[in-house]
Amino acid sequence: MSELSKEKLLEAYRMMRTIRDFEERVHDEFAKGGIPGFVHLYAGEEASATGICMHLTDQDRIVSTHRGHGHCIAKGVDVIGMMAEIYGKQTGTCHGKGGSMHIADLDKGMLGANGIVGGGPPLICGVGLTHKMRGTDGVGIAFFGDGASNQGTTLESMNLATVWNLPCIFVVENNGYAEATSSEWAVSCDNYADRAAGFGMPGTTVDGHDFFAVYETAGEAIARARAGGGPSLVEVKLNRYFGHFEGDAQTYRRADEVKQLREEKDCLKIFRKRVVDANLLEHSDLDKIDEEVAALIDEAVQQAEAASPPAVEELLTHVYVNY
Amino acid sequence: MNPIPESTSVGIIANPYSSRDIRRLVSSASSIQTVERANIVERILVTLATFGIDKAIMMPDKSGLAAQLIRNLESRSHLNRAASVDLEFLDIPITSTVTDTLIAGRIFRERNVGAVIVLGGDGTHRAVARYIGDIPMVSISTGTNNAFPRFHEATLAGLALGIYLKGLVNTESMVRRNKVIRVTVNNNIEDLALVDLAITSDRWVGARAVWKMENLKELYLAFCEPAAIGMSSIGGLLDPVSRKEMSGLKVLMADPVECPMTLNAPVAPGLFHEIGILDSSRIEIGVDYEIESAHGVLALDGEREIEFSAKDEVIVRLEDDGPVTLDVEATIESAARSGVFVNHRTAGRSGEHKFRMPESLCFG
Amino acid sequence: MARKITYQQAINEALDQEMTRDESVIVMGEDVVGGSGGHGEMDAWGGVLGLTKGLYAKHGNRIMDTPITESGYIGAAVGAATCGMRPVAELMFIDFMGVCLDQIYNQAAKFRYMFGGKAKTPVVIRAMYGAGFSAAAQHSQALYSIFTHIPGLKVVLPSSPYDAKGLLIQAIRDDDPVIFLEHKVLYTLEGEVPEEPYTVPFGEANVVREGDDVTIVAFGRMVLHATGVADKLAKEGIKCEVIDPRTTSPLDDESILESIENTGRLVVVDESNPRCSMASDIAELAVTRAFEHLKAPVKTVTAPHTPVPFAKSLEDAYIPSPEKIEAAIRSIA
Repeated sequence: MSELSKEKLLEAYRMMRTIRDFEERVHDEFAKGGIPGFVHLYAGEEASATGICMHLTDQDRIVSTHRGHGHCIAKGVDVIGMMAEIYGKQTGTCHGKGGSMHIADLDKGMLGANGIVGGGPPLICGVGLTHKMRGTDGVGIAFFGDGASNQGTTLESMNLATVWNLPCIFVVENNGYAEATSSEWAVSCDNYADRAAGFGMPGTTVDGHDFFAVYETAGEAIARARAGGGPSLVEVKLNRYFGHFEGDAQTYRRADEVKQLREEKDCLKIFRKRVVDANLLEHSDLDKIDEEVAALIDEAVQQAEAASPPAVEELLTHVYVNY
Repeated sequence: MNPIPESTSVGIIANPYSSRDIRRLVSSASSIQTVERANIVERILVTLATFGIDKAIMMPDKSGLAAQLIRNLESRSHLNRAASVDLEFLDIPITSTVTDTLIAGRIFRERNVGAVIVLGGDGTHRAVARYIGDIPMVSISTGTNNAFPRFHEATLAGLALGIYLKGLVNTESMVRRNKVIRVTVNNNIEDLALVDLAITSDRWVGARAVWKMENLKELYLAFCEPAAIGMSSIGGLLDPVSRKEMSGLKVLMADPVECPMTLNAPVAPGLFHEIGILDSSRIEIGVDYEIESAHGVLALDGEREIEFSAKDEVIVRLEDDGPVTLDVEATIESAARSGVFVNHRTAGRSGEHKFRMPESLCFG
Repeated sequence: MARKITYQQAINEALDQEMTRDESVIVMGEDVVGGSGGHGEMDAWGGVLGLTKGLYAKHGNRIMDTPITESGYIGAAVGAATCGMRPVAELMFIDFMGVCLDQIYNQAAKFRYMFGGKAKTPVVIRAMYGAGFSAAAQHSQALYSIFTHIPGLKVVLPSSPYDAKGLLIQAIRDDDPVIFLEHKVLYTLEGEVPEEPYTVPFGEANVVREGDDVTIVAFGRMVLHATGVADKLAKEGIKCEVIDPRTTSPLDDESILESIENTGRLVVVDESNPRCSMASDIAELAVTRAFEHLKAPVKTVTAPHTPVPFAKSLEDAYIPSPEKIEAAIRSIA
C-alpha cells in the first residue's frame, strides 16, 4: 500500500468522515421535521464508496442507489449543494427538483442516485460502452444493494457487460437487508460473488468495514477494466446503521445489532487505529479533519435552511431540452 | 494417540469465504460456489449416515451456505440419507470473519467431537488448528492455495472418517501429527501457520491475500513440496522439505536485481513470479528466530493478518506439535487391506462382515 | 434529388447518413446485424425484417447486435446517451416495451428534470407497431399513447417514407429521448424521398388534404386510410381536411384547433384501443378549447377495447377501416 501517501490517507479519512457526519446530521434534521420526503442513509458503509471512488477521476462514472449520499460525496459532488437539494431548495445540486433519491452531477461523473432498485446497472453498460467506443481508459461503476442484486436488470447488465467486454465494475453493497427483508433469505445464494461466475466474470468478496481492503480490491478491479480486462463483480459486505428509510424502527433487527456494529464495525474507528498505530498519521491530524468536517456540515445545514425554495415557474422547466 | 476416538460426533467447518478474495481479480484463481460447498457437506453427511454416525455439528454462517444446505436436506430426503444425520448448527454470534472459525474450533474441542471436517484452503485450516487441540482434521480443499489440505472427493473423505470413527481399522497410520510455525509479537500476540509465514513490506492487511510478490521479504516454511501452489512453492522449488522431515526452511528475498539468484515460482494459481533469493537456510524445531524486517505485515498461510512496526519484537518458531490430520488414502487403503469392505457370502445366508455398504451406496 | 423508395429504405438511409455524419451515432438491437458469434455471415439478417441491412459493412462495430436483453441494452443506450453518444436502439416490436419500460419512463424521460436541467439524453428508441400482419396480441399493439403520456419523452409516428427519413434524422439530432414508432404495414410503402439528408421538425402537423367541411385527425397508418376516404368523399363534394400530427409529443394542437375552428366538425382516427388514447386526447382538445366552434359531436374511430386478435376475420374487424371512417364522417357531415 505504498501508493497511499499521507495526503491520500487524509483524503480518505476526510471523505469517510464527511459522509458519516452528513448522514448523522440528515438523520437528526429529518427527525426534527426539517427535511421532506424519503431519505435513505449510508452511515456505516463509508469505506465502500470511499475505497472505490478514490480510484476514479471525473471521466469515470458511477450509478448509485436510493442510498446514494455516500456515493455522491465520494464522487466529489458538492456537499453544500447536496444538503440544499435534500432540503428541496433552489440552490440544491438539482435545484430542488430531484431530492435525496435523485442527486446527480454529471460533470463529476455522478450519474444519479436512483429511486428504482436495479435501475442503475443497465445505465452503467452505456457508460462502459461509451468509454470503449471512444477508446478512453474510463470505467463505469454500478453500485447496487443486495435488494437490486435479485433484479433482472442487474443480471441482464452483468451478462451484457461480459458479452460486450465493457469496462464496468458491479459493486454489490450487501448490507444484509433489502428494506426489511434479510438477504440471507431473499438472495438464493447469498455469497453474491458466486453469481459472477455464472456470467464468466471474476467475483470477489471484501470486508466493507475496512477501507484498505476495499481500496486494494477495487484498485485491482478498476485497473483490470481500464486495461481492457472487462467487467468484474465486487461484493462488499457491510452494514447500515440506520433503517431502510428514515422513520424505520428497524424492529426486524436484533435489538442491540446496531449498537454492536457501531462499537465493533465502524470503518472510521478501524481506519484511525490502523493509521495511528502504523505511525503514519497522528490523532491530531484526524481530529483536525473532524473539526473541519463538522464545520462544513454546519455550514451546509445553515445554508440549506436559509436558501429559497425553487420558484413556481421552475415547475415547468427542464422537462425537455427543446419542446 | 489413541486411534479409536471416544466420540463419534463430527464437527464441520465450511468456510463460506474461502476462494473469494482479490486473487479472483488478479490471477483468475478458482472459486468454489456456495452451492457446491453445500453439496460437499451433503455428500459427507450421506457417507456418515451409512456408517451410522448420526450427529454432526456445524459452524453457522450468514452467507448462504448453511441456508443452501438446509434447503438441500429438506428437499432431497428421497434421494439420499444425508438428512438422517442430526445436524446441529452452533449457536454462536455470526461475525462473518475468521472469528467464527476460531470459536467453532474451540467449541468442538470443548465438546470433544471425534473429528472436524474442514472445507477451505490453507488459511481456513490454520484458523481451525488454532484451538482444536488434538482432534483430527479431515480436509476438503476448497481454498485458493491448498498446500496443506490434500485434494479428496468429499465422499472418500467421509468414508475415511467413518472408518476412523467406527474404529474399523486399528492403526496409527490413519492420523498424522503436523509441523507448525508459531509466531509471537512482543510475547503476547500468538498465532500460527501450517505451511508458510510470510513477511511483506505492506503497511496494511488490506485485502488480506498476498499477491504482490515484490513486497515479499521473508518466508518461514513448515514444509515445502515441489508440486505445491502458493508461496511455499518458492521453497519447494529451491530446497524441498517434506511434511515428515524434522526441519523447515527460511528464505530471504529482495528485488531480483539485488539478488545472487532468482527463481520463477507459481506463487498463486495462475500467477508465476520471478523471486529474487538473497539467502535460504533450514530452520530447526524448537529454535526461536528473530525476523529481519523492521516493519511490515505478517502473512499466515497466505493471509495478511498482523501489522507490525519497528517497536514490535516478532519471534518465529518451528514446532512439531501441530494439529493432527486424518490421512484419507492411508485409512481407506488400510481398511481395504483388512477386508473391511468385502462381504463374504455363503450359500443361503450372508456371511460375517465388518462393514456392509447399504444398497443406497452400491454402484450399478 | 428525390426518387421513389420505400418507408423501410428511407429509415435505413436516415440511419446510414447520420452514422456517416456523426461518429457518436451508434445503432444497437437484437439482430440488427444478425450473425454475431455464429459460424456463417455477419449481417445475415440486418434486422428482423432486413431494415438495417448493409449498415454493418459501412459502419462496422458502430452497429451492434445485443443479446435478447431489452432492459439491459435499452438501459445501455440510455446510459451512453448521457455520456454524449447518440444511440439508436431498436426494440423490434413495441409490445416488448413492457420488459424494459423502467429504463425509458423512469430513467431516460426523467433525468433532465430530476437533475435540475443538467442531463441530456439524446437516445432514439425505434420500434415497430400496429396490426395487420396476423401477428396477434403480443406483436401488434399501437401503444404510442402510453409514451405520449410521459413527460420527458417525444413520440414520433411517421406515415410516409418522406416523413420517416426526415423525422428519424430529426430524432437522432434531437437532444431529448425520442420514441420512434414505425407501422409494420407501412415498411413497403413507396414514396418520393430526397437523397440528401433533411429533417422534418417535431410538433408540426402535416395537413395532408385541405378542406372546409370536416377535420380528420389521423395517426400513423390511419393517415393513409383517412386520405383515401377524403379523396373518395371529395368527389361527392364533402371536403375533408386530413391532419397528420406526425408527432404525438410534442403535439401541434394549434394546427388541429385552427382546422376545427374552420370546419366545426372533427373525426379522430386512431388504431389503438379507445381508453386514454390519442382519439380521446384530441377529442378533449376540441371540447375544451374549440367547443364554441363545434357544429356536431366529435367522432372517434378506434380499435375496440380488446387485445389484437389473430384470425384475419377478427383482425380486419379490429383495425379501423376506411368504411368505418367514412361512416363516421357521413354521420356528422
